Amino acid sequence: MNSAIEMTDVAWRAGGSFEVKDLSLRVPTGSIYGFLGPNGSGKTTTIRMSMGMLKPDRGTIRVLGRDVPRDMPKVLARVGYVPERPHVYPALTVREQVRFHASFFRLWDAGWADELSERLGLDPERRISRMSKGETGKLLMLLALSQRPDLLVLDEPTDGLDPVVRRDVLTALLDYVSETNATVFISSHLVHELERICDWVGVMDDGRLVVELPMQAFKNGIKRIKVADAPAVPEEPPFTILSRERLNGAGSETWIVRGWQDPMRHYFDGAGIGLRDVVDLDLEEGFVELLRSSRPTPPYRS
Amino acid sequence: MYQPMLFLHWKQIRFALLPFIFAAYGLPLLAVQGLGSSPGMEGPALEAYRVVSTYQVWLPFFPLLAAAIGVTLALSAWNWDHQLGHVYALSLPISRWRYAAVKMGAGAVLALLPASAFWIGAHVAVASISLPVGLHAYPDQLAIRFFAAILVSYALLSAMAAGTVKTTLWVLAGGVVFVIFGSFLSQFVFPYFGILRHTDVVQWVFHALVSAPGPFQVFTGNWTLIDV
Amino acid sequence: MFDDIDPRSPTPLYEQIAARVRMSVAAGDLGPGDALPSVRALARDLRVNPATVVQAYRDLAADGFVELRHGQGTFVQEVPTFVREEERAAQATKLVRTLLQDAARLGISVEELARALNVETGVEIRE
Repeated sequence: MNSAIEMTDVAWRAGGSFEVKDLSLRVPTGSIYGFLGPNGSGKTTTIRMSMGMLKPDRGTIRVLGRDVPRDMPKVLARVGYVPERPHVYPALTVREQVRFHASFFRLWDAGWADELSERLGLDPERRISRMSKGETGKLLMLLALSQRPDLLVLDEPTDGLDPVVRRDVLTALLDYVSETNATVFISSHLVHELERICDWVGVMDDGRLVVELPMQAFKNGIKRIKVADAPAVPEEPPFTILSRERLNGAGSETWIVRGWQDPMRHYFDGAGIGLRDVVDLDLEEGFVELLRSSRPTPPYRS
Repeated sequence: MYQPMLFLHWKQIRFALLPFIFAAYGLPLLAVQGLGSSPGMEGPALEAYRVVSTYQVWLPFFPLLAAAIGVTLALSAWNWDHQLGHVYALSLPISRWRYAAVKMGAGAVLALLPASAFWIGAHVAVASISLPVGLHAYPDQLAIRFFAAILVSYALLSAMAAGTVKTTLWVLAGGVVFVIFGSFLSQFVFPYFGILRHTDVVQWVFHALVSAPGPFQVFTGNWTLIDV
Repeated sequence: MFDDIDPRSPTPLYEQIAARVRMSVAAGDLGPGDALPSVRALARDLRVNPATVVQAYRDLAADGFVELRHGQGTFVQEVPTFVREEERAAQATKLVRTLLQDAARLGISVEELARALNVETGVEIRE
């Protein structure tokens, strides 16, 4: 099976105005797939559907080759999940919580759990209600990794944690992936962190999957272009113009384009437009520009 | 998974369970207070009557205590899960039904604690009095009934606590609809068609539930420790 | 050696890692037989995808800079002098290209650049 998660034409509606539509998403096996999107775009809903907690109104979902939510318990035995809100019992100690969790997973690796516990600096006798957000985050990752899953579904695992904790949690994750080639599906607002570790990126906006590309292709494809003598309607460019902004200077504009490839420079010669500069955007800038272009222009932008 | 689930439930309920254990032990003792301490000056028949009727005063408290323990067990079993929004259970590799069943089992095991206390208390109570001729004591039967009553109320409340508020309301609404519809059938439809005369559907169902072998018989049946 | 890996750069991370190794070999900091960090260790230290490190090492092996010994690790190979010189030249070209691009963006001419180089280094630049 070459996709760890495969969603086809999935739709889901809450009953209010929010809905997920035409969602077709593929997480290749062995990849680290970064799932980006503004709050309320449907990321957590999508993650919950992949975990069988929500049933889609339409479409099919397959996780690790099995139908979801029909074969859910079998699938969940091989999926490590870190949810948005911690799902550990506050009144238990770390040791008791680990023992509880471990009893459900046949492949549980107690040695690895102990090693992680030490590496992450978790005190087994500490009560969870007394733990800081960072310690709880570390515990959740420990629980997910010690199951020895084939797939990790992580919903904002490091958001809101301090940099030291984030580093510890990420290195534990990467260590595990090095050893096992597990697939990781991670959603986060920490775009720079995702930029380091992800080889695929998917962007959600307003209930739709707007982009799904290998990380490099996405980054290389979005550019900020400075042009001169730009006409009001440029003739059929080979790339998509996401937005245009006029600069001072006749006909000088900044274009944000998508789907750029280097040979497209020649288009400008043919169209009689002066190409002044092609500027690379990092993942965060590309992501922001991509989303900004899909929203109505605010009044202060010329 | 069975042991940790049991441990989890124990941790949720241990402070609430202790007073119930004491109450379960003490109730039979309270019920036989002042009985058989002075050997009968009246005749044996009158003595027996006095014992039984004194005891009757305490009768309603037995099923009440059992129900209270059952309800507490049920609420405590699902309390923490409720607070977490049930997400944890849904992410574990076990079907919802199996998870609920293991939880029920854990609660049943914990119910043995107050039930055992009651059984001991009943025996101690019976041993502490001298029964008048013609009366017998039934501590074992009573203890079994007590345990069964805990389990029934526990199961019922669990079903409601494990489900959502919506499900519970649907079940209650269904019950109301059944009562109304059943009465309508019995009062008007059956007589009109001349069939099933003298059958009150609602009463019939109620009767079936409440008398043996219905599930609620355990509450409405015989709770006497001392009887003829 | 890998301190300034920049995930935000348009250059893919595996290329950046491989380039660092190449430069180290070209400069003589890494000699034949030296071991590179394990995939696991490097991925962990740099906090990058292990697949990225694997790709970097594979590219280096394809170019003959390292040898991947299964189960033992990755070791630097003996690299002929001309290859090392080529690598240095390629790096220099890249630096100059970046400099020229930045200069063009700011509207600084090549003559002005040459003059500045002259002042900084004392090396006479001829056009």
